[in-house]
Amino acid sequence: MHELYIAQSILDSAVSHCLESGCSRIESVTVQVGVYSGVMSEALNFAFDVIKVGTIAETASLITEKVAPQCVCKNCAQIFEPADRFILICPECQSMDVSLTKGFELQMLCLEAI
Amino acid sequence: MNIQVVSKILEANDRLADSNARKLKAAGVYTINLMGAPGAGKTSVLEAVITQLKSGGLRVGVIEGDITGSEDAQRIATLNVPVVQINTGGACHLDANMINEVLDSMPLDSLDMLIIENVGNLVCPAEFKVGEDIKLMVLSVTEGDDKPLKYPLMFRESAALVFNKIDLLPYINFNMDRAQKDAMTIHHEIRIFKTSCKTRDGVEELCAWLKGLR
Repeated sequence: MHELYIAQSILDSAVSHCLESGCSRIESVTVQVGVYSGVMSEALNFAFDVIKVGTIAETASLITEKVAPQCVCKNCAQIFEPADRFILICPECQSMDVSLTKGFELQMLCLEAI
Repeated sequence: MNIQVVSKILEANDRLADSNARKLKAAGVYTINLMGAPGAGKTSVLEAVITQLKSGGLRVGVIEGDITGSEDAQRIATLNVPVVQINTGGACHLDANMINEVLDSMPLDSLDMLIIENVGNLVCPAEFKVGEDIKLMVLSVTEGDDKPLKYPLMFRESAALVFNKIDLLPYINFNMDRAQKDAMTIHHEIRIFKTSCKTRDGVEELCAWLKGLR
């Protein structure tokens, strides 16, 4: 929903990391996007392509790695991926008392720079 | 050259939210982020609970978030509690920075509870922490019983769900069992309350729970 703001945060952070490392051009930026983060990768890429123009990331590509959801059953400790994003039922013991351990990620992993 | 970074993209907001939370905790203030669609009755629920909490000796303050205008703050001010209005000027949710900017204008040392009424929206407010202890959402029954499955994140993030305007249930096709079951499938531990600000049904139960949070 707020991909332009998020793309700007990614760009700002990538530029400062690039310059801190003594590089002058960014070739790619890799980010992790969890399915619960509320972020659409397509919209994020579109926003990044618009705002990178005129910066040291002008030719950089944004690589988005999707992170699938993961649950841990509090009843039987089974680790599973929910069948539906928000229908969280343990396939082993049918308990609904589960915690979500993956899927909320929205983070920058690394960048390639020269 | 490969540069490893691993940093949260919304870190700036999270950091400010943590700083707000520390400031509030240090002052002994329990903070609630109140969310829901426009017209769900967030302000009406707030008016109903403040009146009762105040008579029980609890000192409550309010931050009102709206795109524009100060109607809500004016309504809350008539209850004689400290209130600040934030106008987001178009933004569809409050973020930690907006709260940070107004916290100093609230008399935190003489408050027990701060309720932050977010901008009316079922999507974005759930994505941005502002420094709250819990999120509380209001869903009016006239919005429809399909809302938990259509806007799951907010139900997942909220500690409690208030079904509001239950006095209208006889006149509409709202399947309470379905809505409740769906909400609990998304968030097993969600606390459920049913209120009418008109008849004041359920207000007492909600207040008792709010009081017990501190």
